[in-house]
Amino acid sequence: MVTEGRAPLFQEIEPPQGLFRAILAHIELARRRAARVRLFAWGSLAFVSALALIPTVQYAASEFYASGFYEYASLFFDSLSRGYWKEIVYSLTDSLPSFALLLLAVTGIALVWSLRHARNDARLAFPDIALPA
Amino acid sequence: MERTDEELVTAHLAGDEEAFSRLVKHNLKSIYSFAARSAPNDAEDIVQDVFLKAWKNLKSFNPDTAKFKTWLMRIARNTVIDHLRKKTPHIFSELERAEGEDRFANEPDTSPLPDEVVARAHDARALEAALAELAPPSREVLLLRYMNQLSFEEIAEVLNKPANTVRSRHRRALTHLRTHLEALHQKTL
Repeated sequence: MVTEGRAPLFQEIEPPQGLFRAILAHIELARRRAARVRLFAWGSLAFVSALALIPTVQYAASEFYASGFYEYASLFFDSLSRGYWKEIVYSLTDSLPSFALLLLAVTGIALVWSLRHARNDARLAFPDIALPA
Repeated sequence: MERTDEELVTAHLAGDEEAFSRLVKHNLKSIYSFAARSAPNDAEDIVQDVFLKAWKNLKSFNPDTAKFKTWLMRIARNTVIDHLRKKTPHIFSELERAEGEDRFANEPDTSPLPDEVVARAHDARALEAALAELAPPSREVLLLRYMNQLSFEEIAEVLNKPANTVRSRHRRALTHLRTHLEALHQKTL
């Protein structure tokens, strides 16, 4: 390289004082702005999933009652002493309302996940406000 | 031990909040110098934009394929062009053809050596004045080469052009610089 090992033809210019801080402040502002947008998105998802959780729990509960799961569950301890616990376990598994459980799990996970992200973004967006850990 | 820019990028992406401010500190002077000589009135705005863009796009930087310095310089160069286009839209379209070659492409190569150019510049002020007279495409090559100390391959990466194109553009830029220096010299006599 031609320029290697010798002084550059054009000297670098010293940046004005305060430019470094201005850049970091500019980035911080952009970071907060982006965090607020994400907070809105995560907050909306948390709100929707919290709303969806109510009918999902009701649906799962009704499915549990309809499936006979509780009846099998009440026989479980009795079956341990009588020696037919394996059959009861199979019946319990069969009677589990899988779809309702899956729906409940998805809604629950979406709620927890969005709340977690919303909390992290809230911390970034509003660093002066103390939020619970 | 001082970490390299590439290590700082990795640290920043891993969640180290301090790493990006160190990256800014490492590169501020060279980016500011490039911006101040390319667009003196907008240098501070350009520098802020450059680092903001870098911060936003740091995930797309691949240390295996490029150096951070050239990646950042490329952002700086594009930001300078954007600013210049806003102010004087004709300047780039007039000088550059669709293929990216400028209108001096067919001029004879009477390139002086860089040392000769320096010798003609009686002082740094004359050199600065001559540089300011150059068209942006010529100026940026000289700045990247003789201020930021980049190799032709690195400049090619920054400008997104083949290294040979960069070499010929560099030769032409030196010729133009010499012409401007001579004109300035004539004026002072």
